[in-house]
Amino acid sequence: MSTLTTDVAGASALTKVYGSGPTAVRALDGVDVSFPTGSFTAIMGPSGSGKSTLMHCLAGLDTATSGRVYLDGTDLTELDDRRLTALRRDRIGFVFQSFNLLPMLTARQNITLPLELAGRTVDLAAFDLLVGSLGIADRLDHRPSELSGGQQQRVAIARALITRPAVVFADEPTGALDSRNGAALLAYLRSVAREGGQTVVMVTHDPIAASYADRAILLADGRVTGEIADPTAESVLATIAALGA
Amino acid sequence: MRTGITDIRRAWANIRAYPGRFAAVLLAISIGVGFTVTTVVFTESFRTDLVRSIGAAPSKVDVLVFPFDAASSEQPASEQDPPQEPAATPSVAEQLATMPGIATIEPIYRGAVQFATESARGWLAVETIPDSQQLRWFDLESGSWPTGLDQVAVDPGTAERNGLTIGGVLPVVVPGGTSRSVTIVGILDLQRSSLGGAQDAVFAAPALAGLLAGHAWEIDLLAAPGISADELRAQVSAALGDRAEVQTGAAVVELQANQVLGDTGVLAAVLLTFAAIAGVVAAFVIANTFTILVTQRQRQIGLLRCVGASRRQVRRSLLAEAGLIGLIGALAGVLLGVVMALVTMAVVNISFASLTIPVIGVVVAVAVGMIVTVLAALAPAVRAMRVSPLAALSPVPTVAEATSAGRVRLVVGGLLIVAGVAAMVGGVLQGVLLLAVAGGAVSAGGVLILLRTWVPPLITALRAVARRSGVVGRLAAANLERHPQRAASTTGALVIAVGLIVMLQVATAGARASITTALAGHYPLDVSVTATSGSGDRETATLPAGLTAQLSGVEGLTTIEIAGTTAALTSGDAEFELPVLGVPTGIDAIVRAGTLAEGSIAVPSWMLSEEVAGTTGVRVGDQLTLARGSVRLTLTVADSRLADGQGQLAVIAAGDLARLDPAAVPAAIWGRLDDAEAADEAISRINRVLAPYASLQLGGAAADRVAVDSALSTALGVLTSLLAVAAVIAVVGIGNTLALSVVERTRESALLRALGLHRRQLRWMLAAEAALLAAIGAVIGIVIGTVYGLVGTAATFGQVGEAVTLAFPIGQVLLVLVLALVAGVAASVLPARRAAAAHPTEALAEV
Repeated sequence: MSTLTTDVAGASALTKVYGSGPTAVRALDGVDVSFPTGSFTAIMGPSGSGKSTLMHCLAGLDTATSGRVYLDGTDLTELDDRRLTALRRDRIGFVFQSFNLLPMLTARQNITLPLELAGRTVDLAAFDLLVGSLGIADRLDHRPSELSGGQQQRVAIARALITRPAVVFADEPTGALDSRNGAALLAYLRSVAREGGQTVVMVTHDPIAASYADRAILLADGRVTGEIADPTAESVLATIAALGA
Repeated sequence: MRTGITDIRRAWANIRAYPGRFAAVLLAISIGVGFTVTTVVFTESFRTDLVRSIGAAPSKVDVLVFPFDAASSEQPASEQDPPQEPAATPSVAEQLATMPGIATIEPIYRGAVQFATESARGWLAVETIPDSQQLRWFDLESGSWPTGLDQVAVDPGTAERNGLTIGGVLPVVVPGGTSRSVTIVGILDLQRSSLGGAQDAVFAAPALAGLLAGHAWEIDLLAAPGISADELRAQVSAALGDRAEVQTGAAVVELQANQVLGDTGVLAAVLLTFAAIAGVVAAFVIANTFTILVTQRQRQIGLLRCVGASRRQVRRSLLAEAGLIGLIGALAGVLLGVVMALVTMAVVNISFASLTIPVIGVVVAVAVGMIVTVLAALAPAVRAMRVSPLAALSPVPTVAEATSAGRVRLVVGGLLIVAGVAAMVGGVLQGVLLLAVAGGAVSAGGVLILLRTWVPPLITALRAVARRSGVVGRLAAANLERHPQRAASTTGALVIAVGLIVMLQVATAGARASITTALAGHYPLDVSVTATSGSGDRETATLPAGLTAQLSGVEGLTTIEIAGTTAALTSGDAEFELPVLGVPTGIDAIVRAGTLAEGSIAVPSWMLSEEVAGTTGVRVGDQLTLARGSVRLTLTVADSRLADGQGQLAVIAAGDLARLDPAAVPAAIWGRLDDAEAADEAISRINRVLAPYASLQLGGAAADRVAVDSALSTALGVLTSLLAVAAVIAVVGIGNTLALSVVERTRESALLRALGLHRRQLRWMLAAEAALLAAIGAVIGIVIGTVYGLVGTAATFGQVGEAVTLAFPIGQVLLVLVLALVAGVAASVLPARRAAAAHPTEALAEV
C-alpha cells in the first residue's frame, strides 16, 4: 500500500435536484467526497438517501445540477454527451446488481464489448489472466442464459476490468447472489483494489458487504453523514444506529 | 355477455395504455383495408361514370334506327359533289321523312380516317355533330362549332395525345385516296372519363362526317310533341320492317351499359386480387405484432393468471383486443380508401359527381379487416394461454424463444416445395400454365413455412459481412439471431411483396425477349414504308419523290427501295387486280439473318406469306399467272416470310417485275435498324420524316416491337404500383418489429450507452438491423421471384407453343433491392430515435 495516494475521482459541493418548484426533490445536497487511487470505498445509506444518485453522477451516467465531479483529472460537468460516453467507455467500469449482460452475446463477447466499442484490440495475456483469476475460463463460449448467477456476475466484473478503468463502480453487486457467491465476489473486488491498485466504489446497503471495503461513507437525505475507516459489520451497524438516534 | 364487455373494456385499456405499440398494426390494417375500399369505391364510381358517359349519346335520342343496308346502299361521297343530303341511306331516310310523329331526323355517320402529323400518325374515329342542338351529347369547351367541309373539332384527350390545337391543320385521307386538310376549330367537352374510351376521334358537321366516314350506321329521331319514344319506336319499326333495327334511346343506354359493366367486373377482380395480396402481407405484420406483444406481456398475463383469470379468459381478452384494433384500423382504412379513390378518380379524370360508395363492399372490407386481424392474433393468443402464473414472479421476463418445433415444419415445408417444384417442372415441360401456377402457389407456401429455418443461417452468413462494419454491425446481427421467428415473419411479408414484384419483372423481361425473338423470326423486315391509295391494296400508289433519299438519311437505318406495279392475277374464271412488289438482289443487306432461305428470291417465284396462304388455299409449289398488258408471267409459289405483314400483294423478284412492267415505280421502302434494341427512337425519327405524307403506311417488326414494349412497360408499371402497396405494408412491418424490440430492449439500450456506445452508434445498430432484415427479405424474394418469373414465362410460352427466350432484368431487380434496403433503413429511424433516447441510468434501475 502506498502512503502517497492521489485522488482519482471525487466530487465537491455536488447537488442534484430532480424536478422543479414545490415538487422538487434534492437527491444530493452539497456532497464532498474523494476517492484515492487504489481505494475500495463503500457508499452506504438507507433507501432514498441519494447513494445511487451519487454513483450515477460520479460515473458520468447522470448530470449534476451544481457542483463539480472529477474523474482522472477531468471535470465531468464540462463534458458533452459524446465525450461523457467515450469517458465511460475508456475510463470507467460498471458492475450491476442484475448483472446486465447482453443476452445475445457469449461471455467472451460480453467481456470484450467495451474494447470493441472503443476499437481497441484485446490483450490476450491480460484477458486470460483476468478470466483465469475469476474462474470462468471454461465458460467463455456460453451465453448468459447458460450461466449461473455467480458466473454471470463474474463475467460482468471481467467486463468492468478489461479496459483497466480508472474507477470501477459497483451497484449492489451482491444483491442477486447467494451469500457464498457474494462473499467470493467481495473478496475478489478487495483483492483487485489491494493487489491490483484498482479504485473501486461500491454502493450497498449491506453492512457485511461494506466490511470488505477500506472505508465506508454514510449518506442520508442527500448529505454525507459519516465516514468509517476499515469498517466491520458491527462498526457500520453501530454508526448507523448512532446516526438514526 | 358481461364478460364480453369486460374483455372489450380491458382490451381498450391496453390499447390506450400503449398506443405506440399498436400504431404499426393499425397502419398495416388501414392500408390493407384502405386498398380494398379504394378498389371497390373506385370501380363502382367508374361504373357510374361509364354508364353516364356511354349513355350520353343515346340518352339524348328518343328512337335510334340502325338501317341494315347502310353500307351497301350508300354512294361514295366525293369532294366535287358535296352532298346536300349526304350519302345516307336515302331510302330508309326518305321513308322516315314521310312518316308522321317525327320532329327531327339526324343521320349519324361513324367511321375512321387516316391522319398524319409531325408527332403522330394513325387512325381517327369520325363522329357526327348533329345539327339539332338537342341531340348534341357534348358541349363546346373552347373555339367554335365546326361547320362545312373543312372544319372539325376534337376532344381534349385526342388533342393532348396527338398534339393538336385549335387553328391547327390536320391532314387526313378521304376514302377514295385523296388527301384533305381540315382545320381544328373547337375542343369538345365529352364529359367522359379518359378510361371510358381513350379512342382518338374527330367531330364534324354531318356534311364532312358523311364525307369522311361514308356510312350512316344510325339515324337518330326525336319524337314530335305528344308522342312517346315507345310509341314512335313501334310505329317506325312497323313501317321499316326488316330494313332496320329500331330501338328507343333508353333501351340502347341499358344495352351498352350492360356490355361495359362486364368489363369493369374484370377490372374489379384484378384489383381485388392485389388487395388480397396486401391483406396477406398485412396479416404477417399483425401476427408478428401480437406474437411480440404476448412475449412482452408475459408478466402481465402471468399476473392475470395469478389473480384468477382462466386460460380461456386470457385468450379471449387478447382476441377482443385484436378485434378492437381490427375495427379501428379498418374504419381508418375506409376513410383512407375513400380519399384514395377520389385521388385516383382525379388522376384518371373521372368526375367527383360519379363517386359511388357501395355500402355492402365497404362493410365486407371492414369485416374482412377485422377477421384477418383476429385470425392473425389467434396463434399468439393460444400461445398466451400457455403462460404460467409463475411468469409474473420471475424477475426478468424470459424472452428466450423456442427455436425448434422444427421437424414437422421441415417435413411439411419440404414436401410442399418438392411437390410444388415437381408441378412447376411438369407445367413447363408440358406447357400447361395452370399446373405451373398451382405448383408455384404450393411451393410458395413451403418457402414461407421454411423461412424460419432459412433466416437464421442467412443472418449468420450476413453477420460475416456485418462484422466488417465493426461491433455495431455485429450487435445488430446478434440482436436478430436471438429472435429467429420474429425475423422470419418480419421478412416473410417482404419476401411476398418483393417476390411478386421481381416475378413480374422477370416475366415481363422474358416476354419482351421472347416476343422480340419471335418478331425477328417471323418478320425479316424491321421497317417497311408502303404507299397506299387509301382505298385498300387494290392498286399500287407511288411513293412521294425524294422520300427514299430522306429515309436513307435517317440515322441508324439502312434502306432499300422496292419497285412496284399492279398486275392481274388469273385464278380460275376470276381475275383480280393486285399490287406487285419486286425484291432486288441486294435485299440480303437489310433482311434479318436466318429469316430467309438462301437464294429463295433468285428463282422466278411468288413469295407467299403465311397469312395469305392460309386464307386463299394457295399452296407452295402452285403455279400462278400474273398478267399486265400483253406480258404474262407464270410463277411458282414459294414460302417466304418476306411477304409477311405486307397484306394481300404479290412479292416477286425484281427481275420478274421488270419484265412485267419496265416502267415500275418506287412503291415501298424497306429498311433495317442498326440497333434493334433502340427501335423506339428510330421509329420516332422515321415518323418525323413521314409526317407530311398521311397515306404512307409504316410497318415491320420494329413498329410492332415498340408497340409491344410500351404495352408491356405500362402493364409492368401498373402491376408494380399495385404491389407496391404490399411492399409498403411489409416495410411498415420492419419498422414495427424494430419498434417493439426497442421497447423490450430499453434496458439493454441503456446498458450499451452506459458501457460507452454513442447515441449515433445505437441508431446505426437499429439501422443495420433493419437493413439486414430488408436484405434477407429482398434476397429471398428476388430468388423465388426470379424462379417463378422464369417458370411462368416458360409455361406461358409453352402453352401457346412459342419458343421462349428467358431474360433477367438485372437493373430493375437491383433497383428493387436498393429500394428495399433504403425503405428498411428509413423504417428504423423512429425506433432508433426512441432507442437512442434511453438514458444510461435506466440500465441500473432494478425491475
